[in-house]
Amino acid sequence: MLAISAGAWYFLLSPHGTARCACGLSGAGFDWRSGRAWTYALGEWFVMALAMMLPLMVMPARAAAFGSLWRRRHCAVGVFLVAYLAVWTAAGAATLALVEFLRCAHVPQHGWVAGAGFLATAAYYLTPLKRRLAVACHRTRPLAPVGWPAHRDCLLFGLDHGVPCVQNCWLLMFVAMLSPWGAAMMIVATLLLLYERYRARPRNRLAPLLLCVLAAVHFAF
Amino acid sequence: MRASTHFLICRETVSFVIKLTVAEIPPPPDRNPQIDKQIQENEFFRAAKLKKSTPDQIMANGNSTFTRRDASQMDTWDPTLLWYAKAVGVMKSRPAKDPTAWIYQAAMHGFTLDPNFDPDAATFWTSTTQGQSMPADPEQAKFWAQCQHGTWYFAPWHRMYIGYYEQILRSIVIGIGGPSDWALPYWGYESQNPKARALPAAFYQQTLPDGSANPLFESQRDQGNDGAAFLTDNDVSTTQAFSEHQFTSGPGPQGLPQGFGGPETGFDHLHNTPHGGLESQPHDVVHGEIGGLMGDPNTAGYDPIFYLHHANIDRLWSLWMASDPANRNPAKSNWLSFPFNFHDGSGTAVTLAPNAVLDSVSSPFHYQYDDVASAPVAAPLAAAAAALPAFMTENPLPQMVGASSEPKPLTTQRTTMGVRLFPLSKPLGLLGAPDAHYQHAYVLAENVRCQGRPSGFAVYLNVPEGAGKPDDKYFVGSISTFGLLQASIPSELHPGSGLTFTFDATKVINLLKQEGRWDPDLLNVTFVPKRAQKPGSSIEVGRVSLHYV
Repeated sequence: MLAISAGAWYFLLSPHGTARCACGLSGAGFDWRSGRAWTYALGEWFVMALAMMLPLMVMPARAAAFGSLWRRRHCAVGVFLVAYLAVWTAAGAATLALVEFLRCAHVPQHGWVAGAGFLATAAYYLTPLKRRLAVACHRTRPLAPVGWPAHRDCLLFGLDHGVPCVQNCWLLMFVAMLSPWGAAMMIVATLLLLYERYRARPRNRLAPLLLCVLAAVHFAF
Repeated sequence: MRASTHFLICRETVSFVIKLTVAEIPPPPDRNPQIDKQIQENEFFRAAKLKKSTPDQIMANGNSTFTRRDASQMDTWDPTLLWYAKAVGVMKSRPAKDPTAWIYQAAMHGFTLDPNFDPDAATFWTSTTQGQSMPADPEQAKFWAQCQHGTWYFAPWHRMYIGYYEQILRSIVIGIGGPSDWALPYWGYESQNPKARALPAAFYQQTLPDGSANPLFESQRDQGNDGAAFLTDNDVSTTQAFSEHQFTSGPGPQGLPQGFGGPETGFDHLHNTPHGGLESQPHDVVHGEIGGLMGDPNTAGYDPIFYLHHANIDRLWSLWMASDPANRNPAKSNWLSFPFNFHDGSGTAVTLAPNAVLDSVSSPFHYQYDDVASAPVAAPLAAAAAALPAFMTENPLPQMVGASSEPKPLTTQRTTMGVRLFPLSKPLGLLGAPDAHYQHAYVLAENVRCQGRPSGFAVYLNVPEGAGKPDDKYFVGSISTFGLLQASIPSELHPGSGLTFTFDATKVINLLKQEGRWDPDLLNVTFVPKRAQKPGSSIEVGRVSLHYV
């Protein structure tokens, strides 16, 4: 999973990686009536989700693998990830539509837009809802050992993680997209999410503080 | 210390208390807050609460080492326990904002006013802190509700916590004229002493020798206040914990192999991570069996027996280290240097990391236990592990070989869950005949959730049909309800998935094979309630599974 994530990052940061995440509001836009354009844009979003989110899913994927019979551990991880990434793909469709809406509304990709977004994200980080969602990303679920109940449980386990993960991380991801330094902000956001997932103390102030600094940087430049 | 010396000190201490206690205290009522009120109104405690010893006084013992002794081998009002009671009384008389107050110290372990997170604890803390001036929110966030459970910080955090608690108490003891070498006693419940399975008598006496309310008495205990031995040999067994020779649990939610000290995590206050061997048993089980305030991590620190229980858990960590050269603490910097916040004996805020307390004698607390030399030794398993190929012992991969299919509620009767077993496959199976090379077989009761306050369950494998208590030779461990309710409610601290209990079933499975009672296709796991369930309580096991490591 980490290798896939690294590959996705390589694609996003390479000269050919013209992913929409790094373009944000300054991109050329796309014809939202074209299915092919939607597919292409969603594909870019999907790569971004692989890059940013797979490192967060190492532990639950391990839970799916080692909580399953050895012979179906790969299947368990696969079904888990399909469900998890399906949630992010659905969120991606909504996000692309929102970005297009903002572009059509002539919202510029100025620093102050992203700065205001980072401030809003910092405020969100201080809410009980955010703290509850962050903890919900550590859910576990009993998995049936064999048969279709095993597939069903892995699917539900993926949804268990996908839904709170989108609620938890989407705003930060979206605001990073709005930044003029999209790719750099994606890296910062990923590091912040990793810290939050594996190392942060409850009610930690470091994440909102960092978001305020990012907002200040965007306002200043 | 000789018995005659004990008697003299005890007699002098009792007369000292009688002299200083002015008000005649009526018989203590049932409710703890009222007893606390009496203690707060006691003139002796009120006069003493303002006295705080300086660090120099606290360390008046010079460079010598304080010795923690077994409370279960002491007389009811041994001077150590009597001074403990008096010092606790002083702490209880201090205002909640004072870091050396009883409320403050208890809240450092666990605290909540949120009824959605922990209804009983919220009710308790709301009533206990009513009318009290509380520390500001940032101070609460920094110092309160910090206990580490389901983590490799479990043992060192509690060592630091009770170390500073002991400093606070010693400061008070010295301030009220007690011995400068006073040390916190421990409750050695796993010893062969017949009295050890009961609460030390000082904790269930309602009054001190002078007739005043006993600050060590806590009315809200499910068991122990009648003086009877309520812990079983199974409850206090350290066999499973001492059979683990790695400190850190394996990675992942299953945390296999279980390890002695818990899984590698960041700061982990009441999360759903698996518990290490020491924490699972006897720690969790003793908490759950005493019940009441002790049965809930958010209130446990309010019961004075908590600190003697944890002194014993700390002693068991020392014993584990001394019992086998193979037993080692983690060497990773994120364990050694992770800082935690406390207050020392004078109430000054301090930060301390595990690397400062690895050796109790040279730690800031300068203590030792009176019996560390008599450690139980689990060397044969370590020797067997050493004989295995290195790649197996260094990085063993757990492998699940069977699991139940559906969640099942546990009832007031014995409940059995069937585990369908499958042949062992890679990588262990490659090494020879299937299931011939595992070091540990673990039975996991996963995603156990509850409502209300159910009692604990004893867990057995393949017990014969029939009524009555199963034979202990098939016993693999206990489900403790300590922290289970909090783990069952989605909150800011917990996703609500319940807890997973790990039982080392290696010996029992080997026994079943020797007796010809091992079925390679089916394992029956039986849960037997330890006590009658309280009204409104229920408990459900999400899955039972068998893992080889």
